[in-house]
Amino acid sequence: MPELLVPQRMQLAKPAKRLLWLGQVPAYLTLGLWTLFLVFMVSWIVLASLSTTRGIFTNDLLGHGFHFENYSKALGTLNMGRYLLNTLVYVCIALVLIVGVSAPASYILSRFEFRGRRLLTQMFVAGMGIPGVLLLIPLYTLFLRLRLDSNPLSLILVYVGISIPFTVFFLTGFFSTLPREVQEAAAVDGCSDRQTFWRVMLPLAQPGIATVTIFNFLGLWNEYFWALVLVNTPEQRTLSLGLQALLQDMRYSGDWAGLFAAVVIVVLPTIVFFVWQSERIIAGVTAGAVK
Amino acid sequence: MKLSRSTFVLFLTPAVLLYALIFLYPSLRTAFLSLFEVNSFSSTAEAQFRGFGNYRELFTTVVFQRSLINIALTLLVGGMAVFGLSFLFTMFLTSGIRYKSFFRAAIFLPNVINLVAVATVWVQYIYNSRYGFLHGFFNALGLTSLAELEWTSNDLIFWAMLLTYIWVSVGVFTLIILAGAERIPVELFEAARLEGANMFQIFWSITLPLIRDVLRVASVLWTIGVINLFTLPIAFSPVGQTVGAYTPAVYLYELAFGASTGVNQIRVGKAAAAGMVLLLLVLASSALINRLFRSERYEY
Repeated sequence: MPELLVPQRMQLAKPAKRLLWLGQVPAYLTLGLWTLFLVFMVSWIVLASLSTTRGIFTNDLLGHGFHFENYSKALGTLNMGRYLLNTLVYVCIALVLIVGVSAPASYILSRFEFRGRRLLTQMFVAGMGIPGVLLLIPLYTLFLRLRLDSNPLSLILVYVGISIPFTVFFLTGFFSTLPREVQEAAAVDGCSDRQTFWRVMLPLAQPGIATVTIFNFLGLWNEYFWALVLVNTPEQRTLSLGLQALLQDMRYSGDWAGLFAAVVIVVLPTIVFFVWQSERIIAGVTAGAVK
Repeated sequence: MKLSRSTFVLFLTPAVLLYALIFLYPSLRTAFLSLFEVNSFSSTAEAQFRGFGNYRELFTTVVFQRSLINIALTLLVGGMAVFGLSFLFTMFLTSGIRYKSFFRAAIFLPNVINLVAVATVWVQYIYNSRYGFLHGFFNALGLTSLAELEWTSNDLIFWAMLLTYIWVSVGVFTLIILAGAERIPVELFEAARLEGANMFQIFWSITLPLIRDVLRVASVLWTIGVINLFTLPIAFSPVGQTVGAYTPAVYLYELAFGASTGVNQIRVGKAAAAGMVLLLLVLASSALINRLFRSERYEY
């Protein structure tokens, strides 16, 4: 029974029911208001995305029925569909590469002693605090020289690079929690060190890899800065850039309903993803906080 | 077990190489460039040495000064709000209410939404002075002067952005502080409650001191996040403007790539200097926070 294994550490022992309820009113009130605001906001956006621009401005949402064509327009004419595809491709490729590069390194760093190990680990961790803007100029110059300045490849490369510090930090912590006996058993069975990693340790690390991939996904899906620098053309844009470009275009087009439809397109994947994986995500943040 | 040399190299090299490419090389090169006058990306060969001239100029540029003030305000005012709310929520979430997971998820949700989308929604809907949320809300309360406020005007836009940033950030920090608070053994709380302490007293005297480590981590995260703030200011620009409120990172970007309004001249060297200043701020504040939070560990 899960409740027994993971006790609610801060549950009261035997409170008097009425006193308890009274004391919790502020809690329910505040949390309730917060949630209400969230629900209201999301509902309004969804409704606005299904209205007409005139309806929005006259506070008369859905006064003229459901306009689903806002979405087909947003996906097609306004290019959100292409941006969605771009973002999906860039992020998924990056996610795979990130794990491919970081998992082996984390494995070595967490389970084998060698000279310089501490230094190397600290170096990776330090990368988490380096401002992205600091790296901008030399990297952009480099890509410029290689004629990769407006190219998704360079974006993917940067995405992988900037995700390494956090991923290595996280996975190193995770690998160190795996039992040593399994590793030794594999060696006894005749596995080489590579086979041990590939066949034994990596599968065991799946929960950690899944969690860190989710974090990387959320971060990269919503990333703006590097995409702005490296892929800001109508063909290559990501969702973030597309939305911002659309916003700036409002000057000329004034299609507010379409704008809100685009907003829904942008946030729906992450919201759905979050609702689906909320336990894991929250557990990940929690675990990281007390490490 | 024995690790062969080839495996060692194979496993570590990609990460180290990529790290060197993305972090080490650019950091050093930016430091180098910050000492030169460079006017475009392709002419870095014709740079003129300026020593600390870029830095001197940076600190006397009004926009940069303004951006520093902005992040200082965000750090302090925003920090108090975010941490205050996080403490409040932590207190609530641990008081034994029902639907705790649901509320926890609801608090964290704003943090996973695309920042550009968040900015769009807040600027175009919440803050809109004609049909927006606050407009309708204040009207319903009869506070018509508040309802007519132009939240996205030049005077107020920084505060509007700050409020949005607080809303987005509360989730992460609540989770972090909650994580720390939930490690405290329940016996301490029970003992306190037996003595008649209320929710606030318990929080102040027991929870707060015992989550020092977590608070330290949270403070560093908050500070680094604020110093590097880029996306929200840019996305918070109302239609027709480039930037609502400046932060150093945004200013750096404009210095390096030019902008339609505001900064007009491309000054790559000066941008590099701005980058170094940001790095320095991150290092200094991390060191400061670590020093402030240095204490003996409580045994519990």
